[in-house]
Amino acid sequence: MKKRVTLKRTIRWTVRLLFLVLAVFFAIGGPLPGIAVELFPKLENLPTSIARIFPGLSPLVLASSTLTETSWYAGLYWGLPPLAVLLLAVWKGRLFCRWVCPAGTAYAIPATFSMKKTLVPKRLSGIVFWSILGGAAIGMPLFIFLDPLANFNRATILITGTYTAASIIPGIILPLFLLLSAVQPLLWCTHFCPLGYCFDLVYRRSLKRRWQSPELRREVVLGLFIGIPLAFIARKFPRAKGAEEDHPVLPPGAKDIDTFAARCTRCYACVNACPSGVIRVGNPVGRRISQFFHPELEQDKAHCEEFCNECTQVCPAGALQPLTVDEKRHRQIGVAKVRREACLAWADNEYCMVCQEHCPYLAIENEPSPEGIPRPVVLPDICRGCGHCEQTCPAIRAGKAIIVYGVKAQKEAEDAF
Amino acid sequence: MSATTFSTAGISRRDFIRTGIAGTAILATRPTLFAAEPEAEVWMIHGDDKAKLMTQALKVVDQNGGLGTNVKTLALKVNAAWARKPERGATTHPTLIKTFLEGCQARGITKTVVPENPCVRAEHSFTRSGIQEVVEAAGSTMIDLKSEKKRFADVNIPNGKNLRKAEVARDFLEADAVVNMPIAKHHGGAKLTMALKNWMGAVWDRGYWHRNNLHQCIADFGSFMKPNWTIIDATRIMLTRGPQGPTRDMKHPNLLILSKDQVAADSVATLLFHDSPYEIPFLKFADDMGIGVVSPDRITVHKVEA
Repeated sequence: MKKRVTLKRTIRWTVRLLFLVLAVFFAIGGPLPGIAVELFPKLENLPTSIARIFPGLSPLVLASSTLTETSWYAGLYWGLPPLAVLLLAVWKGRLFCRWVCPAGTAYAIPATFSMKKTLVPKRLSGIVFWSILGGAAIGMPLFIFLDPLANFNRATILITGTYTAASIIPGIILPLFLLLSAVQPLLWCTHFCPLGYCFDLVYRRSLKRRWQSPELRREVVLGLFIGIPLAFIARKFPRAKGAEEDHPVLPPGAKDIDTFAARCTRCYACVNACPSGVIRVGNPVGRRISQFFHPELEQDKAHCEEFCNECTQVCPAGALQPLTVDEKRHRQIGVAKVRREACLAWADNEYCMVCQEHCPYLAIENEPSPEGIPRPVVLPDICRGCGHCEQTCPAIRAGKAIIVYGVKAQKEAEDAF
Repeated sequence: MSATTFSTAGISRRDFIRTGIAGTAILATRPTLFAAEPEAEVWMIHGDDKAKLMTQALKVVDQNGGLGTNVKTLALKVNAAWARKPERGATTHPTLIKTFLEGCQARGITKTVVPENPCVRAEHSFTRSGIQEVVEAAGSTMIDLKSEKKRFADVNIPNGKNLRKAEVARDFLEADAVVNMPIAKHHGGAKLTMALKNWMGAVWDRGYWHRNNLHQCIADFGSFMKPNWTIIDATRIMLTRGPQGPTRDMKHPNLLILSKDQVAADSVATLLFHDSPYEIPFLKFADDMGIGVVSPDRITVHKVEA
């Protein structure tokens, strides 16, 4: 049966595609067509925080992060849009899915020429939704990465050039469901999407029917039964074994390694926002389950710039607190350690001190050798862990001679000046 | 020194680079040709007003052969490596750069460029140092070499001991005249950074220098890169915590140190920090290699008040 091209359909598709383009544009941050800049010169300096708009629309992320932290994190300004989306769902059900959601639009495109085969007979969205809420209640919403807006945003790292080998697995979820949607139309939206389920749940017309159905009870029980024990396992058991070296270096604004792992939705807005390209999708090898694929700093080829706070402005889940440039400058995200056996000064008697030269915070002291050759020593209370030293360390014989290790909890570092 | 000799002989810098091996062969023999005590002239210009200081410096340049013969393009090597405000003394003072570039225009130089390979991303270092703003206002072009590997050309350094090859920004090789305008300050690895050390901001791979005796490499590169003039900004100097700072340990000598011989300029500037230029290993190497005058006895210092 062929659908007729009606005016309403045309308008709806125009609006949807517009939102889709906007969502991609906000996620990857430009470049703008020249004519747009000519017409509106202010557009050229759009704030980085536009990257937060789309992933920040999800009331599911708002609820999960608020539950996890047991406090309101989003502020008035950023808290209103997701609440408005929720209210819209009470009034109109899944209107958001059909008009705004960029992931929904993306899936709807292959669905128009779908084979209409049934791949997954049972709807799993309810179980996903309740396991997220259950996990959040005890501080570890393991499945929050299935939020459709985070999922959509995540896939954009495949086109921004910030991807690493580790980013392929998380990035592939959206493309995979695009393919599946060509087999079973809108498979994601109907069978997996926890946000769509949430909209169905609060829709005023089906409220009574839904909340009385035995299906809901099954979903709640099964969801909590899966979500809560898994969250406990992820939280309690595979903890890092105490060694400081095991901690990843997290972007500035993360509170501590556990809170960040729990709250990060893996939308990778910070990865895309970082002008230095130092924030990358973490390699899961050697990480706990709860830390899989979350953003980390890889400082051997880039560093966290002193006067930059862009990543802290884009996090939709409050996993990164917004910091001013000055707060960011004082934030200790890691501590550098000198590997003396690899160091040009300590091991090879060379005049080097590139690490000290590049340290913006005066965190490296000179401890001269008996022959007067300067040798670096890190002051751990002053070091911010920006990685400028690691990036520029010229040693190659035994690898980099100065390496930044993550801290368990970020804090304000002392000022040397 | 050598570059000056060539330009007075009617050969421009560009021809000199093009002649390549022939040119460097003559260069290589030069120290022995004049082995009898080569001498150098250095001007120390003193004053509070930075614009006046540079105007005076340009007057001295004019009285001593100008920036070169038939110069249409000029590449200026400043220090814009760090995201520090001008008063911190980590980067060349923008007022000096502004006055210099305006002076170039007034002297009929049609195209000036200010290329720099900064240590901190250009959007922070070029802006916070105030340099990009004045360069653009003066109608010149600031070039971020860090983001453009293709701007670099492979060169041989025949007189180099440890540094025999380097990738150098083409802008410095192709310009009719080159002026080096560093700031003098303390430095962790190089002890001091002035004119010779400033050229590290014109090459791509700095790591090689650090792995292969930094001080020798600094001197080696000085045997290749010979600016027409060197103007060292010593209006304010960091005595410790260099090259980036910030530090409270500063002096304000309010000086510009001007010379055609960048080694001699470094030697004079060193005396603001140390008792003897020979305390700095790269100057010792420069002396051994005969790429310029280090010994204060053989440098004529003219003191000028601006």
